[in-house]
Amino acid sequence: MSGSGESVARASGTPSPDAAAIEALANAGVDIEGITPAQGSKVEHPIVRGIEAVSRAASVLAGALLVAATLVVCQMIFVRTVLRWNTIWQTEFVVYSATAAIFLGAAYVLSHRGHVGVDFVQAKLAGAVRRWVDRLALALGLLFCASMTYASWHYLYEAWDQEWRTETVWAIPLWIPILPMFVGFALLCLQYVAELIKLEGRMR
Amino acid sequence: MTPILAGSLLILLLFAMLATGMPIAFALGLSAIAGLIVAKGPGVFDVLAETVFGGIANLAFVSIPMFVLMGAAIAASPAGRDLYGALDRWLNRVPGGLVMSNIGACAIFAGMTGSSPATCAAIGKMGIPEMLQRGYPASVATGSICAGGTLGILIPPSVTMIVYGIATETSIGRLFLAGVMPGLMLTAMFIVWALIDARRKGYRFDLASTRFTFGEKLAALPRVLPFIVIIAGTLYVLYGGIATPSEAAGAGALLTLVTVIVIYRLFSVRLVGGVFQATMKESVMIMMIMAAAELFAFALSSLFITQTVAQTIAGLGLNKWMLLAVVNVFLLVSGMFLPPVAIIVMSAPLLFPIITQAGFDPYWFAVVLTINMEVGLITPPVGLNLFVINAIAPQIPTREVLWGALPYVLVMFLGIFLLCLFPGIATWLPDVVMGPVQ
Repeated sequence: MSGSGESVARASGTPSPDAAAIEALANAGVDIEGITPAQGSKVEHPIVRGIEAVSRAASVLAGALLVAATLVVCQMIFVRTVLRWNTIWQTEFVVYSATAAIFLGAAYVLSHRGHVGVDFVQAKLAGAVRRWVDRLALALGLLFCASMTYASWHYLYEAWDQEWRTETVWAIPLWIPILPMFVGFALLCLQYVAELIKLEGRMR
Repeated sequence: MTPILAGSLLILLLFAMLATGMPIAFALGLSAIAGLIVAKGPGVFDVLAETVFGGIANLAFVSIPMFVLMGAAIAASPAGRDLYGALDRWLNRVPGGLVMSNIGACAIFAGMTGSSPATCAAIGKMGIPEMLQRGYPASVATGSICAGGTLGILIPPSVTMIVYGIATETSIGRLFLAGVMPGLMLTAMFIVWALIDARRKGYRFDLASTRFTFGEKLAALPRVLPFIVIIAGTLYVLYGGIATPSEAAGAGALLTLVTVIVIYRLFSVRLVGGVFQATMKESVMIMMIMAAAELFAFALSSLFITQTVAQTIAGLGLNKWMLLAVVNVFLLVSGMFLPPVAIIVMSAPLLFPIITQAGFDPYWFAVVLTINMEVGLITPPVGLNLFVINAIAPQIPTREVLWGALPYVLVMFLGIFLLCLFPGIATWLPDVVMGPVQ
């Protein structure tokens, strides 16, 4: 497997902060004042606007779940070390809310190009080839998310139907923590549809 | 189909997908699903979700968003500016002190935030103009910041190390400790090279004329020390076995956030919301790759690739240093194209057994791997630090930034070489603090 990285593409070119790079910087937490790239048409398709609103709402929920997880971790330490009580629900709550946050935030992160990809090959392309590669990238992403939506639906249904519970004292029904995974992948599919519409819009 | 052929096809498929520019996480997942269908038939869809969910829904993973939160809180504050200012006041009467305060501030800030590009931006914004103003060659100014920023993934707490710990089931506390001495060593080596480079290019180290009083020197400390204390406390709790990494990180994250709000009087819902937003984005990106990597590892073992590769390599009877050289070249090349998290989770199931079988210490190897990943951050085509420097100092030609950064790559190679000669640089501290590995 050694050296197989070369098959991706050859190292070439000098870095220049194009739109994608700036987005990457912003995602890396870099203050990008004054170097925002020129925006395309501001008027988005109504379907795109709708989908992005849903993705944003889910990401706010994801952020809230992370806040909750942080607070409960601290509460858990306090309860165990200071009050010397047993913790019953905390560990599971923290694990499942952090996991839920990841899935629920995924669509929003996609709309902001936050899922890191190897984009320098595609950035070298132009014209019709570039157009088709961009379409292919979106289609493959959609294919994965659709597969996972189906798979997590199956898992969710099984957990519901067989009344599975988590293997701890708290023993909550397992479908509850699985639900955000299904919702997350379904939202990713929707966001991919929005991305396809945006791509076609940019090309016109 | 033999496992080796299947493995090659799987890797080819993965790289073909990556080349389209699609997210790494989804390319990993999709190629894994393709491999699994070949190995187990379409019935595999019934276990996909369970594999992903079971893989990431555990307490160890919670430490990732928590440490990311800790870094995001510090990165959102002006702590970088204060840290730089404080070091500059202490070191400005030392010849070459500006180089030391730049790289030193990078090392500390990178350690605190764990984010390489954020460090380059925060320290570089003040450091680069200051160095240029005092007549340092541009390549010294940009190169030192570029390289200094990479230290964040080596100096604890480091998300890269956490990912390695989870992927290889090694102790995260021990990994953090293993990174300390090599991190300090690299910092010192960077400083030495920066001084040599400046001298080579005809820079004369004159003493700065500004003198700071002792009071002025102390003035900046109260705003910087709390963060260092919190992080040291978090790590202490972790090593002392008082709390798990996730608990320590959670408490550390909350304390850091509260401290940022109190010290910098940033009582704004927007700011705190922004910190959580940034944390969510970064954590989602990392965790999605790790979730997909669960599928990838499952596919590799279902196709018997993992087992066969390990056996084949063992059967070759390679000298262990030859083996390490090959692994190192592989890491270096992939580090130039892929982010550290992706490389670790993809290669762990294949490389880790080989490396440990050859008798290398897994914690020592983590350090070598991490330094390779650091190189990837400052080499084209996807060296994120280069983009950052370009964005904050657009007047310096890209060529000069690249040539300034290149020698630091050689310095890192020298660091890896020293680690091979003296493995104790990485393993000594963990052995002293936590006792030898059982």
